[in-house]
Amino acid sequence: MNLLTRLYPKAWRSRYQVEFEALLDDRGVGLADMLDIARAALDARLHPQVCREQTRPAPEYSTRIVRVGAVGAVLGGVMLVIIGVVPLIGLHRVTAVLPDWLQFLLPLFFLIAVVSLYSLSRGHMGALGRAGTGLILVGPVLAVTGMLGLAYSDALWFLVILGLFDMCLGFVMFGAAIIRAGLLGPWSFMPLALGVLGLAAIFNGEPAHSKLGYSASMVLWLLFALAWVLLGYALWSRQSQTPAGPEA
Amino acid sequence: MGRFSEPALLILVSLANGDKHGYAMMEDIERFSGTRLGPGTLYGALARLERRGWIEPLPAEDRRRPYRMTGAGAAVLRDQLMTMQNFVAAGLTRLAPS
Repeated sequence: MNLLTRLYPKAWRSRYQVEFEALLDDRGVGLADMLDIARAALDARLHPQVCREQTRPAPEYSTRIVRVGAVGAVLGGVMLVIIGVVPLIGLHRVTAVLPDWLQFLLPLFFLIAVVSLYSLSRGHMGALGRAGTGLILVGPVLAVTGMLGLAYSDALWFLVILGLFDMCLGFVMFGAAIIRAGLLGPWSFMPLALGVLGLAAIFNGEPAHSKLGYSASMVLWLLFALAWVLLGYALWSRQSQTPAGPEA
Repeated sequence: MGRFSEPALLILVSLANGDKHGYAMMEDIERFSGTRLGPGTLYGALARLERRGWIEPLPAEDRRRPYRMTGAGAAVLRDQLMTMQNFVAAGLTRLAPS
């Protein structure tokens, strides 16, 4: 078997050899197959079929997890607008009808999106990306702890902010690694942008006490929420990227 | 009509009803079309389809790697089949006794 597959160019073999030999083992190889393989190997040498993108290890992530993460990111962004931004522009009646437990869904949605991003990027992250992932995963846990603690002490609000800060800092580090690996195609900048926007919004403070003024602060929080929605879109469209190539 | 090679079209039709690895595709194609693709022909077409983004590899199961048709692949397959349907209809209409 090896002799036959060695007829193919190295780039082709590094991408397809294992599965191709599994097929030959399953099917058995007759004389007609040998001629077919020799012809196809010559064709692969004359018309390279494997681009550099394909020689990277094939994805080992579950597309279902990535899609669930995409939905989580979009819902998180929408939820952030509903429970974080809408009350600040005076529409309290909109959020007054929502049950209290709904606010706990926000970090949950973010966590789902983060797990999905991690599963997508696993094996492609350097130390920076792994450290960023650790920070991101701790953030929602801190935020939820703080939100639960608010029933006992308002001072625990700082845990919520710390969790958010931790998550955004993690996104900056993780985002740099995503850009380096190009894992989200043209949207690879999105996690970094999300982290930077989140940090800017946190440092600027609440709209009522912000350094930039009420409107600018609102815009910053809205952009942060929009970044989550766009991250969800980037994750979702990760499945249907269409690289350019020759006729099939 | 020349947008696809025949093996590429057969592969896309095979993947239209679910993910399959190479051997399962060969069996399926033989079943629905009577065409027995050689392993070299199959993988040549798979490589080109993957490069175009019309199919995508899934995580390997043992040594076998299943493939899935992408949204872009489904769109071009639908487009191609519609063209073929129009072509067949025109041919049959012209053949019909007037």
